[in-house]
Amino acid sequence: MNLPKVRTETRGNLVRNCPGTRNHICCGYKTIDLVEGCMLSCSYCVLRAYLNGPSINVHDDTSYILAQVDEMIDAHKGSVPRFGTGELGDSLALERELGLHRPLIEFFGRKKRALLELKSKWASIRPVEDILNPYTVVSFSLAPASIVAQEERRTSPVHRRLKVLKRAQELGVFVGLHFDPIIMYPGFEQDYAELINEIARTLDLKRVLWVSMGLLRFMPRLYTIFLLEQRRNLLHGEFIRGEDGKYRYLKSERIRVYKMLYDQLKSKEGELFIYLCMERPDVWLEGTGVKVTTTEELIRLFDARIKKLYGGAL
Amino acid sequence: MLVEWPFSRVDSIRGFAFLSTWAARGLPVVDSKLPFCYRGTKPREKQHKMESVEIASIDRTDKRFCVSFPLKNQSLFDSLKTFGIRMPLLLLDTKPHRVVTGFRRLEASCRLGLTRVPCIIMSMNEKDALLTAINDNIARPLNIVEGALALEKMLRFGFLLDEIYATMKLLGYEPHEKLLGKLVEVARSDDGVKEFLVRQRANMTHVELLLGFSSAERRSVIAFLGDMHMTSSQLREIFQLLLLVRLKEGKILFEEYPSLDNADAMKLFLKKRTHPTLAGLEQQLRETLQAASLPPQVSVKVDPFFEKDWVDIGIKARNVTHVKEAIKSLDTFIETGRLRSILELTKGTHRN
Repeated sequence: MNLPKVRTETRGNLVRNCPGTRNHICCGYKTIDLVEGCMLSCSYCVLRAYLNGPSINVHDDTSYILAQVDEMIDAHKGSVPRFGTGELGDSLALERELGLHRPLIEFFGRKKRALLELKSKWASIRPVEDILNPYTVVSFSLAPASIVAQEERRTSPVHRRLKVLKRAQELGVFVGLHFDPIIMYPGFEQDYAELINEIARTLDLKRVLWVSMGLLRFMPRLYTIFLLEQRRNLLHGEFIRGEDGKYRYLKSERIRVYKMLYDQLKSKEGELFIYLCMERPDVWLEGTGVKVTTTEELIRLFDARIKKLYGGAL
Repeated sequence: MLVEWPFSRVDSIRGFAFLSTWAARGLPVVDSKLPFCYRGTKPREKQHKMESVEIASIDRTDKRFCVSFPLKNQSLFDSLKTFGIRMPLLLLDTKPHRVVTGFRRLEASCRLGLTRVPCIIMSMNEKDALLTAINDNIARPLNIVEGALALEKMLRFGFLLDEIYATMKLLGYEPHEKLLGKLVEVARSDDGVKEFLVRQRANMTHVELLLGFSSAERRSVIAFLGDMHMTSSQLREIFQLLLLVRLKEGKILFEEYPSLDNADAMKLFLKKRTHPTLAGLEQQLRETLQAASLPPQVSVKVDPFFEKDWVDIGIKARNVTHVKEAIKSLDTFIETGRLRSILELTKGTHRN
């Protein structure tokens, strides 16, 4: 689908701390809203509840945005700030057409004090390949092929995403993997096991900077949409309202699935840094065996991981 | 009986300013600055008169301008019985007459056995007549079906989309094509669906969910819920649970469902089908608390979704004895391992 792109007047705070969600541990991410809206139209996407317009809003006043990023990096103390552009849109899907990330990637390469994560489901880094630097992290959301075919219909197939990640590793860039959302449907355990095997076969897991896991969660508005669209995959499990008001799988189920995937990933590479996105401390502990109770603690884990892979370069 | 009844008088009573008012006042009406409903109408010099009209000369089946639902209104009936018809009906000068406004007054008059009703008869095109009808009703809070009827008729009469969107705004709806589509579907639903929506004071979320069922399912859902009193959120949750049952089980076997007389019991019944694990946890909690037989001054509260990994234990005491009794019962509660069992339910590590 070719949604119209509307260049929007760039004003206000486009660089922000991830709002997180009440009573759940946030990773302390910072978001840069270059675009608002996405042409990939995944069925479960949170943007369906947030953004209503038929167009994609584009903020292309580069100097304005870079000034905000620069200010935030300079003001940030005590840890390595991590920025991403994939919060309200896909980082790579529009890059060939708009080229919005090039100045950002170059800026982070010069600044050398923070990381920029390009988070995507669109398997193409060619438009930025020539300027990639160690301060850019290329990340892909990953899901079994059956989910990609049914719920992420306009995205790139998983094998192509993995191929691009491999290419990024060959270019000397660290990569990130995001199992988010993890969807429970009949046979999902087997499909995820195969996906993890494929990842381990394709990538150098020692050069994966981070792996996130987040089971499907969504706002109440999306629950009605899923029901009306008869999304069997998305509504297969048992959902409850979490403390933040969002629908989530029942806690016992979340723990079971996190533990299963965490163990499988760790069995491939014991040093992998795996974190949970927006989860409760008790789920962290039961699902991963790691005791994390606050955002600050999780940020420290990120710092330790970055220090281990980057040494003194950051 | 013939009574002089200039339109400006009708308007001032109702607080409206529809097109005929402009005409009666001789104001210029062909003006691009005017709202769309005034465009294209011509000034009219004629003074319209109220007259008593035989009900038999009115086509009561012609509802093309009717935006009232339901037509039966007990308060209006009682009022007409006591005070008579104080406000004339507005009819088109067709043979038989078509009603523009006053459908509910006409219905009540028939129930009262009246044979004549006070009316104003005038000539206007159908679009103007519909706008007059909508304008006449819009000052009172229209229910969702009435709003839907108004919009559906505008669509059918060939009004432009921006004119319909303007009316949607007046009715309190977001001017959106999808929303309009759903409201049109409501207007075209059978009376059973419409009556249910009005009875339950349905909002747009309810409509959206109800339209998620097929026509046949809708009838079954309405029959299943009957006249049960539900809050807005209970109705929404029951619709959602029924849609979820259909999604998970392929169909809803209403004939196998027990007849339940309250919304909470119905929710519980449906939840057992859609959330068996959660229902199992709830069952275990209930059984453990029942077996513990804690005195009424002791409360043990667990998060309804077993998300929070703690329990709230409270003691309500009016004297020292109450506290001593409570502590003793809690001691037993701990010694017998029942508190531990409940805490395990909240940890999320419990397996059925």
